Amino acid sequence: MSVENAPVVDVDEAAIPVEKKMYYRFESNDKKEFRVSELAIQQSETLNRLVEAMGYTSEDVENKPAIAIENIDGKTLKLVFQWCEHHKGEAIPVDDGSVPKIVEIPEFDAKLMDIDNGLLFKLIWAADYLNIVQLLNVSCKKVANMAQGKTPAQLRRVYLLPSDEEDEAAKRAAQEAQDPRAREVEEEFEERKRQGGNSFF
Amino acid sequence: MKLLKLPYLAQKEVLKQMEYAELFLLSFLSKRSMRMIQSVKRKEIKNIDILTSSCFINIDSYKFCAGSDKKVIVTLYPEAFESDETLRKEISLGNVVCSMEYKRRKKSNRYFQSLIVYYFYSEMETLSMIVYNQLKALFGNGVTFSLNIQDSALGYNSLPTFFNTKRSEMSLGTLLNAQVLENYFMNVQEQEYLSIAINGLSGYLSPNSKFYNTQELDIKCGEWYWGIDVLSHFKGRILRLITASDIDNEICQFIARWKSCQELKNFECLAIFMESRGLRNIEEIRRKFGFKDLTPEQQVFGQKKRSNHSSYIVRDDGIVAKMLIDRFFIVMEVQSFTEEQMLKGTEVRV
Repeated sequence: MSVENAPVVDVDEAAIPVEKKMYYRFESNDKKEFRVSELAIQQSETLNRLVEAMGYTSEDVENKPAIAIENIDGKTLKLVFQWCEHHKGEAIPVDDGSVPKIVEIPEFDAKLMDIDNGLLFKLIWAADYLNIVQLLNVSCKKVANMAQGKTPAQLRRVYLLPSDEEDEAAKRAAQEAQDPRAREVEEEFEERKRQGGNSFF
Repeated sequence: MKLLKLPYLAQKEVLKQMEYAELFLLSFLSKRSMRMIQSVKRKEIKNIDILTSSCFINIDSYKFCAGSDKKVIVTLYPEAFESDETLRKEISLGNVVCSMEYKRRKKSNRYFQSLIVYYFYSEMETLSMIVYNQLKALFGNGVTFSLNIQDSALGYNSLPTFFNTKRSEMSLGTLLNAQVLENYFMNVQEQEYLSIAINGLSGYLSPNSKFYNTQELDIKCGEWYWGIDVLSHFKGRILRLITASDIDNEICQFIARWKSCQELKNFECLAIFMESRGLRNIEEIRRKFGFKDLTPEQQVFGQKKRSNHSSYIVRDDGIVAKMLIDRFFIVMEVQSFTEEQMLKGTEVRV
């Protein structure tokens, strides 16, 4: 995708100061390109460090390839950058260890996260990977809110939590998949036992 | 939403933002979900209060509360408790089938959903034990449990017993069977603190009862003889007693036990408040134990806060206890210094 066609996320022209704002270009793993303001990037500790380390000038940004974010798709990255642009300039919360943690979901964030669970899951992964503290807070709050008023059975369905038996079965299946010979040996052993043999060897 | 597949930090965030009641229910789903919650370590939970109350012979409700704001994690009510039964949903906690509902409550200007679990009387003890064990496993061994029994019931056949309870408060507007109290102390850890207010005790506790090992004991008892027993057998650190009068002899015996250095080695403080006639002969007590008046300098020596002590006595090893004695009360506070150190300290200051 050309730079001209890249979706620019919430650029507020009126708010552009006399000094020219710097925009960076990022590319998702499905080759969608985004232009994001320097201030918005500061919400992500990972991206902020990355662009600082790269030391790009405005010309570099235009002339060099977009910075690839290889494990996040375009749909998710669009949400991430929309969130960063909306919250640019805001202080990044510091976890003071206080629990229960009180997090309010602002209206904008609530609308942004009015998405299916699959996409919300990806958004959380992205917020974690890109180290966007407040986005992680609000998205996790949304997940925590899903527990409200639920019975244990409902919680199991909401959070897709397997039972002990299912966990055991999955563990056995994983072991067998890792070592198919183990299963064969076990079957052979059982067969010999049935035939009345005392020794396996 | 696959909670277990979220990155660890996100999983932790989700669990940190959940209410205790939600974590509690979540922990019943599997060993893995229990481990997941345990790994978050809700450090703010240092104490879980178990509040019980009753109307008749049995306990009617249990409230398990936690955190600095004593937020209720779960309340247990009997099935017969009046509420809209259509809102109740059947659940299994451990192997007990019961029902639950959430009720909207307000605490510190915040609304939250309070979890109510309804039990059948026959399963009351089993269910309360399941809840207790689950919370213990969930929030770790570092959590102290406190039991608070408030009621005006006719009497108890047994007191709710949770082994890890280290602090208990009992306010029973009734005569309590001594054996019930004895059994309670046999089945819990040695108590760090006990506050007990009862009309009286029917029968006697054994002199070796673990009741007397309670480290800090606050006791208000209408019965005169129980005050005597407590003074005779107490082995803890702090004793505050509100009792009837005519206990001069027992006070003397208590001071003698302490003075001899043979008993009450960890003892720190005694405060007795007497009703009706009070002490019969203060002068006799003063004379018998060699009370000495404190000078103003000695009064403040070693004190972190203002004190009203007017005299002191000395243990056989030289350690001082500052005293305040009146017809209706006696306060004795053991100090960490000897008489010699106090006198020298006073001299230096002068």
